Amino acid sequence: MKVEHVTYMILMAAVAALVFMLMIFGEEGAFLPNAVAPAVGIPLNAWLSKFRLWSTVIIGAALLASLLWYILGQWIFKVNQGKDAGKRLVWFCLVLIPLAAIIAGIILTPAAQAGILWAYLFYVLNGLLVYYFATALFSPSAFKYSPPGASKLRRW
Amino acid sequence: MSLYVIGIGGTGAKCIEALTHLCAAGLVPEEEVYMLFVDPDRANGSLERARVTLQQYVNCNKLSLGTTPLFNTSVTSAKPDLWSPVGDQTPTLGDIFQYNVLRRSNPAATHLFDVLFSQEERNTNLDRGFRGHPSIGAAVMAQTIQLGTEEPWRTFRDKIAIDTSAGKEVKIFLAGSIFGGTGASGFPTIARLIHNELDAITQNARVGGALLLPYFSFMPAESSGELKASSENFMMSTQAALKSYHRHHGEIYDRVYTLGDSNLSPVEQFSTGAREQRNEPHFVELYAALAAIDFCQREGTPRTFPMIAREKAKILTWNDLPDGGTVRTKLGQFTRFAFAYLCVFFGMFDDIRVKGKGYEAPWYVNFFARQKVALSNETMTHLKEMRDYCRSYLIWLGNIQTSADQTTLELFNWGAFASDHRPQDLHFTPGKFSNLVHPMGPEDPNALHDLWERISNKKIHDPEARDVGRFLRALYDCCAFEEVSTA
Repeated sequence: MKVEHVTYMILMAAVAALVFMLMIFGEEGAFLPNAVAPAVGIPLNAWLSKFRLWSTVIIGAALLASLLWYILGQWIFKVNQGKDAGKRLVWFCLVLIPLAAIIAGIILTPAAQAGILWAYLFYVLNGLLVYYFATALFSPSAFKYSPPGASKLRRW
Repeated sequence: MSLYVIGIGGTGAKCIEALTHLCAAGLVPEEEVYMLFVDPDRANGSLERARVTLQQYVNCNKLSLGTTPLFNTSVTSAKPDLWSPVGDQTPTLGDIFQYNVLRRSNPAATHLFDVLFSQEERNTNLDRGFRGHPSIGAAVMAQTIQLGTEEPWRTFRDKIAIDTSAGKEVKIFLAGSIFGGTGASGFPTIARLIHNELDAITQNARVGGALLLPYFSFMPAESSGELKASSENFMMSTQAALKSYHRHHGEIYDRVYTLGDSNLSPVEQFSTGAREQRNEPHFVELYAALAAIDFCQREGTPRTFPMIAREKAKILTWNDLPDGGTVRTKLGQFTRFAFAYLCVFFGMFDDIRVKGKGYEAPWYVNFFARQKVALSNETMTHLKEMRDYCRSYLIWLGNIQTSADQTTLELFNWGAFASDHRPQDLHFTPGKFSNLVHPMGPEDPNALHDLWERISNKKIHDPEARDVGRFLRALYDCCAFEEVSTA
């Protein structure tokens, strides 16, 4: 495996790590304790730990989808003819992985009296940001502009 | 240094066609090449193909490719690009020498004329060439060629005068067959006229030539009684012509390359001339084009007689070509370029134009969208010009590969881009891209994908490479063997 591929996959993981840190220190640590009132009988700390769990699962799923996109684009899909190019449909299909995790997180997060929509919003943002930025910035060369808007972001 | 090339007759035109392809591949070191066809048979199929190829080259040469061997040589075709010794008319030999007038005014000369030329020779229309009779051609050419006054010769002469006065070394290279009519008569006659003319204006010009000995044969068509070339006389004609050249014209040329093949390749369809005389390219013409390059590279060498032969009688490999390693590298790269362009890249432009899915091709984003090069009609015209040239080149290459039925050419894997036994029908097998050039190694079915990856990341820093030329240059660079091996 070439250094370039390893580097790109590490950078994808770095994007996920960055969002994870944002989630720990920004969302869970600073914002949600003041914005969420868990349901009766559920301590705030227990609710926040569930939020962290599901956020981690969602970020992990998004990273998994990004790595899967890289593996498919680098080693499985081959552009030996023009009709083999693009694969944007596959990119959209892979979004279903973080989306599935997001839906699971929304269903399984304990109820709250107020502010739960903030948690749902963070689930969606965390999952999609990881998948989008990881793939838009570090897709395999042959498909590097397949994620929408990647041609505006990526200059290498 | 400037090179002036004159292709005489159908074979000469085919040599120019081969040289044009070598120019495209960056094998010709000269910055400027001036080309001129000489043929009384204006409708000759081989000539027509060579003229089309030359025009296609000139179109591609205008693209801004930057500093690269690709289409590097500036090729100019004479205006008009074709000179016919019989003009626009369809005269007979008798017409040209005004036989009927001569008979009344100078009976003695008429008797000499009768001795030299039979009635059939005097009365045959020359619109289809000299029908394998160099005696007719020599007489007509010596009578009609006017170097100082008639176009394209006047410009030809003036350009040489300008080049030599600017201190440039000028090389003039003639190519023609020894066994036909036009080539055999024009090769010594035109060279002598040029030689005499140049003696008056410069000592800084050298004349070289490729003289093609018999390398094909044909079954004559049903006898129609008309005067025509006959391949069974090729050897006799060649022997006689060589003797004559040696005795009478030896001092004209600074360097002559005599080329042929002992295994005569049969031509399927014989024609006395015109559009039907469209003989397919042959590897001997590739040698003739390489001879022109060799002639350019020799500086002031005294009259020498180069010799080259094949290692094995039935197989032709890169080692059998002069400077075969360089030829392999450059022709190989150009062949990869032409293959990839036609097989993968060109087809995408229409798709992008219609569907607007430029994101599918990273190289399109980098070389077109970001550079503000729209796929306008003008851009598409340039892309199509390159497509046309690449097609002509691959068909030529396929024909070269299949030109000799008794010799196996281990140069290119032509089956990768042509259907079985029909080089003129391009049909691409993408999986064979890695093995286009001999010697072949293990097949890499994803070699085109690797190329796609390389060009997706390619950057061109040459400011002279612009617009479509920038993309074509990137593709050409990515097709280099070095890039492949280090990828």
